[in-house]
Amino acid sequence: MIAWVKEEQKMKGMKVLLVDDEIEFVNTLSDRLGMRGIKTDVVYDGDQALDYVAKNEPDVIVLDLEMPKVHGMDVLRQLSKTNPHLQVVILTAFGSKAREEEAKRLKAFDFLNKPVDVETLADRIRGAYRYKIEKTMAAAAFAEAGEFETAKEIAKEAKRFKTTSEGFKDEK
Amino acid sequence: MVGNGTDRTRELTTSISRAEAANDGLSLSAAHLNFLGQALVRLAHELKNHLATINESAGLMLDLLKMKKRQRWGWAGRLFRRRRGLSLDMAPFLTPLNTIQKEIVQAAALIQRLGRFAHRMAEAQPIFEGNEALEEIQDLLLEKAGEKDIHLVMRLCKRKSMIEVDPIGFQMAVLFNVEKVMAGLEGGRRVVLESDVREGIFQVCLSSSCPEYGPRFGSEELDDEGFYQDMLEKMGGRILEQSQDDKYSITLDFPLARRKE
Repeated sequence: MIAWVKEEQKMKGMKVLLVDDEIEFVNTLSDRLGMRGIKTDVVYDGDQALDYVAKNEPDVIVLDLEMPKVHGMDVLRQLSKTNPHLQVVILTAFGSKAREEEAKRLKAFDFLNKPVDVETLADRIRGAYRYKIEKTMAAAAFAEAGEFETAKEIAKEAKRFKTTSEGFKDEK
Repeated sequence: MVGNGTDRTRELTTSISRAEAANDGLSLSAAHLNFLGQALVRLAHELKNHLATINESAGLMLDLLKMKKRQRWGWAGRLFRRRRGLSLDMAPFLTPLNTIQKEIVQAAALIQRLGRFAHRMAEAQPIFEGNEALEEIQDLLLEKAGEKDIHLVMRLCKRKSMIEVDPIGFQMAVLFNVEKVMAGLEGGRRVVLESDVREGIFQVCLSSSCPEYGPRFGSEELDDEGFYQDMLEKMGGRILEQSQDDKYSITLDFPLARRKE
């Protein structure tokens, strides 16, 4: 049986990165998320995001699409290969059905359009973090246990946690 | 009989010419619509970004106000109020307020340009002010440059200059050539767009210091630009490409409107 720690304690260690070239927007968003107990780091383009991920291994990234140097979709493409446990929430002013589908295909956790309600974004970030913890723990347990009963239990737990997150993963 | 045959041939030739002209017209219209869609989407994107910043700044103010209210009306707040009086510290509100104002001004300017652009499409006036038409696509050009990490500088002449060509065709030709100049450049470089008026023509000059292009020394009129070259010629204009040492430039000439006698 997996012992799940309390929500607050889980969120304490959460590392969130905001990536957006709209400097005033992203700095203000960072302040507001901070007021809601979500501490964030901020970078301003795709290159910096990839550098940051390589050095700091965040849990969740809130990623803009239209950015100079490296496009957000390319960052997502690369991260889905190099950091499969990292959860990405796309936040863009340039949303379209095609882009949403592409993000979903590349395993983004969610796709939100600007302007966004900060409470909604905070919920999605928490949901993405919960999903990441569950995914990482399940993978670790599978690797260690190897027993059918344990695997069944983990799968059940994983399903329960999927339904608490509101991103793309709910639809599956 | 021979006469009838000649008439028939002439008739067929005329219909083929008309069909070709109509086809050209359709291609041009399709290109217009595509360009329009692209430009409007970009502008809307920028507008949404400004709105998002306004939204966050206003939200931050609300968050701060709520915090202040809790501070004032909670038990600790009541104690705080008795000791410090009712005055609020306004300093934390000033920065977000300034941001809101700045963003609103920028958003208003964008909406203004969007309106002018859409208006031009609706009316399709063949005589227009060249610099205004360039300002209308300024955001699109800067966006395209930003995507390639290229610094685009626009220096528009102050003199009012009325041009007599298809306005959307003018804007498309400028956009196409800005993209062409940027195509061979690496990120971090600079492209300068200048407008000028000379001897009955409105000039748009695009230049970059650009060692990537093979130096051709001297100047030449382009003859391989297909669609845009033809379009410019039909409008009575021309394109001149120049390459000297490490400087590369494209000059677009458009005819000024003739003054009424």
